Amino acid sequence: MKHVGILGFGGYVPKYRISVEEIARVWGKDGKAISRGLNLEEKSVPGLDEDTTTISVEAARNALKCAQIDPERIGAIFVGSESHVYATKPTGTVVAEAINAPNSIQCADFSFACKAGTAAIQVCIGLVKSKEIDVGLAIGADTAQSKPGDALEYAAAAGGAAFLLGTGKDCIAKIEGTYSYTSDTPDFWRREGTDFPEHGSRFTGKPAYFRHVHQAALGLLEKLKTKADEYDWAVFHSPNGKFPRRAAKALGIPEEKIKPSLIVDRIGNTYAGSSPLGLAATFDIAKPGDRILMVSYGSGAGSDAFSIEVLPPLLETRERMPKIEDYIQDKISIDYATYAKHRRTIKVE
Amino acid sequence: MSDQSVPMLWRRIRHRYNLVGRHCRTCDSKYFPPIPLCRKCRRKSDLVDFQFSGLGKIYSYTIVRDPPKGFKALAPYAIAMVRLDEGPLVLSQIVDTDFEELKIGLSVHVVFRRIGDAGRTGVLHYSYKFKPLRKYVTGYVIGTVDGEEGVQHIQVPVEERERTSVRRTIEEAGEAVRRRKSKEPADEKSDG
Ligand SMILES: [Zn+2]
Repeated sequence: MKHVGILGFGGYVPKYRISVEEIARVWGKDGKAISRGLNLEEKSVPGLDEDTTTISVEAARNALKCAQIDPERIGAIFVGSESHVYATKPTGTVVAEAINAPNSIQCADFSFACKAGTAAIQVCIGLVKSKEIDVGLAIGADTAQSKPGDALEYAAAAGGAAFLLGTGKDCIAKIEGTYSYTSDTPDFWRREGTDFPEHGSRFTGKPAYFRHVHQAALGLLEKLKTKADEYDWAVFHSPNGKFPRRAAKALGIPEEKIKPSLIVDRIGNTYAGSSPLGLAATFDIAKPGDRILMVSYGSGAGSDAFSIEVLPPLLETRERMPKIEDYIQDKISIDYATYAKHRRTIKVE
Repeated sequence: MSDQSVPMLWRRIRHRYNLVGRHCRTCDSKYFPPIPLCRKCRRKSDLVDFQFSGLGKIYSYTIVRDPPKGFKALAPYAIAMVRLDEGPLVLSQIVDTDFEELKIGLSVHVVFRRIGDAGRTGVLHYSYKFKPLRKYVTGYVIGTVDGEEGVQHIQVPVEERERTSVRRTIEEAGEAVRRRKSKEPADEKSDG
């Protein structure tokens, strides 16, 4: 069996930004210190008419423009998010209609905190590999919620990325393998019917993020018999700017190799969109032959690690849609009051 | 939008999500939203679904500062008549703009947005809106095309599919009758 690859990718980041300092000002905190501590300048905020569905559609349309494939070839659509707009109706049903996908698709919403998007990629890989489908569409997207005044508010952002998984000579990258690590670790959760997530503060670090990210990365290297220094780029889930830098350091990966994916500094934690957007941003600058190590993290908790090799078609196909950097730079800064309106914490008729 | 029935919403999904109108193969006219008969050819109409490129120019616009009920959170917002590159005029909100850049003739492109949520429990309504074109935007590249400054649309290679099922045709005929009875113009009204 030939390797499963990525036929196209596309990302989307909403245009609005609020700075960490502006949020800190409202709560009487030292913004500069928080900004420094989290390695975070500002975060993306969805428009009043944007949600996980609209972000997923824009990302999927970009992925289709990149791959230039007939959407009729798509056999499965899985959207991973922790901010799906319906509790029961899959986001993928709307995405499918909005990209002219056929009715003969498998479709379901995924949730696993911030790693729901990479879980969707893995399922598509399995379906393509077993020849159950020709092409699978996996999306990770979020408009992350946070309690006003909570520590999460500085980072909880919006964005997403989509990947078309398939086989053949048009693949822009090859998936060399994946490895997952999962455990019952209650570091962050949101109960059914509640608006905002709760978290275990400092517990989110060592026993949660770092343990799972490292175990998944080491498990993958062991499985594929590769070494961390064989990778040209690395992408780690980025809840803030600090964690991915520390994760890379612990694995002996220099900071330059994670730099392209460190968009968290300027757009915040896009939750299920985080590692997918980091991978998309890395594809925007990588060259054929480069190898990429990606490790996601989802609270609760688990990590999916991917070994990816960039193929020649990437150079041409990535010019067909906007770069992640284009979205990052195209921005409108807003104050906290406007932000509250955007996040609907101010109720308006 | 919240007063729309679910079946009505469902019938409009296809043309709203993808800017799908009609192309008359008899006289080459293009229509948005879709109509059951070509206005020029009447009984000689030969209509097929047509997906517009999503590119257009602002024909006229205004800033709404005193919005109707249901749109208060959005205010102030821009509403414009957009002349699609293929011909039809569409009324739509212009999003992600600071207003200062808005002018007649400004190039815009289609985006996918929420247009209504029917309260906290209702069905969510999605549709097209437009956004000013920038250097790089979703699938459109502004640059020099064949030596001329212009906009190039990167098209997903989909054939002009005739997905006009019998079901849809019956529904559209029914909608035309309803429209005639209520003397409602066939042109798309504001989608917010
Ligand atoms: Zn005609």
